[in-house]
This record gives sequence, structure tokens and C-alpha cells, in this order.
Amino acid sequence: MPNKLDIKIDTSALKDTVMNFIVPLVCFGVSAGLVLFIIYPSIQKMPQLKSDLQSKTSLRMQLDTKVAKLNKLTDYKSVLEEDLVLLDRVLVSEDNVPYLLNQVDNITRGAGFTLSKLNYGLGGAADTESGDTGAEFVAVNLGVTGTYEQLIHFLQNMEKAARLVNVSNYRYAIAGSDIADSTLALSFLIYSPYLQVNSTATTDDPIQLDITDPSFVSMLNYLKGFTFYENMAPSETVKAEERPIEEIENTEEPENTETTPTPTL
Amino acid sequence: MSQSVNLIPDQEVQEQTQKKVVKLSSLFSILVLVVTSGVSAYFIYQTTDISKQIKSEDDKITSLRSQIQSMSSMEITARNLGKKYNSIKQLIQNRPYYSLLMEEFRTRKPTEIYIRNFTVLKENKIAITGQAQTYITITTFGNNLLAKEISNGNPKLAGLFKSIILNQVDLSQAGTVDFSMTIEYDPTKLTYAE
Repeated sequence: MPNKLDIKIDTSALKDTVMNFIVPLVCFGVSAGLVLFIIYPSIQKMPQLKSDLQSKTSLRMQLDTKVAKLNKLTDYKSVLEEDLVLLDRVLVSEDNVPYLLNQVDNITRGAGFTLSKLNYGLGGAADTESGDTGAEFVAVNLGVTGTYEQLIHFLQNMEKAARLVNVSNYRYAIAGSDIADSTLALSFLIYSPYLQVNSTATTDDPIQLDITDPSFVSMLNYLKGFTFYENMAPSETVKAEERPIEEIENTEEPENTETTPTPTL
Repeated sequence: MSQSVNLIPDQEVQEQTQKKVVKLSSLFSILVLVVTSGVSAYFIYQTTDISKQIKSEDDKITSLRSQIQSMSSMEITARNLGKKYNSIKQLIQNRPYYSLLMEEFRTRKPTEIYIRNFTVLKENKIAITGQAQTYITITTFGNNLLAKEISNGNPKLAGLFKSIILNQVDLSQAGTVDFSMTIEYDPTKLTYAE
């Protein structure tokens, strides 16, 4: 009597089948390997590679342009340095209050005004003045007496003065009791900007400056026509105090403010 | 009637079928292998080529950075110049040229009008108080201000004064007319032009 089951597996048929299909098996196996280890990873990697190539190409072109620009600027090195000196005189790097007051005094006397008040204030950028220039400001309250003609000359001289001074607001009133009197009492609020620049060299950021740009050339020529006051001596010691700056306001408020139709004949 | 008699044994038929299957599957698998090999070769070539280009660009970038580094002082000068220039340009382009305003105001003001107070306010307005001989003079003054062009006026400042609000008009005991008005002007007419 048998004690165990005899399981007979016909391995020869299996062996024959494998041998018959050995070529397809090997081919499909190699194909699967190619798909798994080459094609699929390449498809995954390709977009990143193309993106890398694109970004490096555009960086290289940017640096090419920068090198060309720097080589061109090197040919104009002395012009650049002169232009920088000019711009530093127009937009100074520090507040330099004594020089500013000296300048205001010179312009005031040059217009024929009689100085009656001169105060200054420091700190911060005037909201309406600076925009996004990053400049700081010295504010000056100026009180003078003079005529209307002198007022125009004063404003013209301020507009062509270096360092830069901007008349923000002003007011005048008849100095005496006779309305026909030509002598005026004038008050000005003046802002003078200053800006410290400390650039550092970077290798990748482009340079925007184009010294051959017509608007750049035009502005530089315009600034060269300014009057520079830095070396002008005051007639006497300019006396001024640092005080809170007073805004120029309308002192004659109308009693009845009504909007009436524009008068016509 | 004649009938075909299949004299081939079943076993032989089976073997022939098996051979056909083996042959077809072999051909198909070889075809698949050829296609996948071709696609693999294509991808290997593409990735190798792109990697080479990336390496080439890297080399060029390194060389260009080295050149830029050697010109760092020029770059600093150019950047400082650019910053100052941009700031000055903005400051000059934004500021009003009040000398032009005052000249044009004087041109348009009749001689019979006397200004007692003149204040340049914020928001592009001027507040004035003054005296005139008659109401007609004030009207003429207002019309002159609002006229597009005027004789002896600056043609570039045509339309400078945009609107007038006559706040108050009083007849004084002396027979003159005291007035106060607010004038709005166009600041773009007073800015820097290249």
C-alpha cells in the first residue's frame, strides 16, 4: 500500500515550451528593460533638462550683453566719471545744511530779495516730493520781502540751481496797507534732496545705463546749464536755526465758500 | 462523390500550429525590440546632446563672469551713475516750474486787478484775494485765466488754468470790489520737457 501520494509533474513539456519561446521571451525582456531603465527615465528628465538649457542660454546671453556694455563703458570711462561728479553736485550725497543755506542765501540775494526768516528741518522724505527715488530731504522755511518781478527771478534761479532745490509751496501778501504797493512779504517752503549711493558689483544683474541714450544726453546737457553754488561765499554769516518746518497755508480763509458758475461776459 | 481525407495525424497538426505561433511571436518580439532600441537610442542621444549643450553654456557663463569680475569698478561707477541719474530725472520731471506759472498769471491779470494774497496750495490750486474796480474787471480776469490762448501769453501754457471758484465778492465802502477765488491749474503744463 502506498504511504504517500506520488505527484508527477511533467516538466519536460514546460521545458520544451520555454525553449520554443526563448527568442520572444528574451526580446520582450530586453524591451521591458529598455523601457524601464532608459525610455521612461528619459521622458521624466527631458523637460527639466530643456528648462535648464533655456535658463542657462538666456543667462549667457544676458552676460554677453553685460560684457559688451561694460566694454563700451570702459571706452567712455573718463566721461562716466565726469558725469558722476556732475550728478553728485546736483544731487548731493549728504544733507550739507550749511552749504544749502549758503545757496539759498545766494539765490535770495541774487534775486534782490531781503531775507527776513530762514529755518531748516531734517529727517525723512517728504511724501509728495520723493516718489520712489529713495532720496532724503532737507526742508527750508524762507521768509523774504521783494517785488513780483524779483519773485519770478528767484523762482527761475531756484529751478536752475545745483544742488537741486524744489519750491514746494509759497505765499505772498502785500507788505504794507496800500494794495497798490509793489512790496510783497513772501514765504517759501523749499525741499532739497540728497541721496547716498553705495552700489556693489554683481556678476549677473544687467546694467540699465545707456550713456548714448538721447534722453540721458539731453538731461546731462540740461544739468550742465545749472548754476553751481557750492563754492560761492555768503555775504555774511548765514543765520538759521533748525526748527519744525511750517507748511504754507492759506491764511485768508473765505467766509462763504460757494461754488459759483465760472464768470463770463 | 469524392471527399478529402485528412491523412495528417492530429499530433502533426498541433506541432505545425505550435511552430507557426513560435515564429509569429518571435517576429513580433524582435520587432518590438527593434522599436524600443531605436527609441532608447533616440532618447540617449537627446539627453546626451542637451547635457553637452548645458555644459558648454556653463563654461561660457563661467568665462563671462570672470570677465565681468575684472571690470567690477566700472560696474560700480555705472550703477552709481544710473541710480543718481534716475533719481534726478524723476525729481526734475515731477517738479513744477512755478516761474512759468507766475509769468503767465501776470500776463493774464488785468492791470485793474490788485492781488492782496496769493497762496500756492496743495492739489494744484492757488488761493488769491484781491481787489478790483468793478465786477466786470473780475469777470474779465476770470475769462482771461480760462482762455486757451491770450496775446503775449506763452503758447505752451495754453489751458494752464483749468477752473475757477469765486468764493466771495464784496463791495467795499470805497466802491471797489474785494474778492477771493480758488484757481485750479494743470501741473503737467509746468513740468520739464526735453
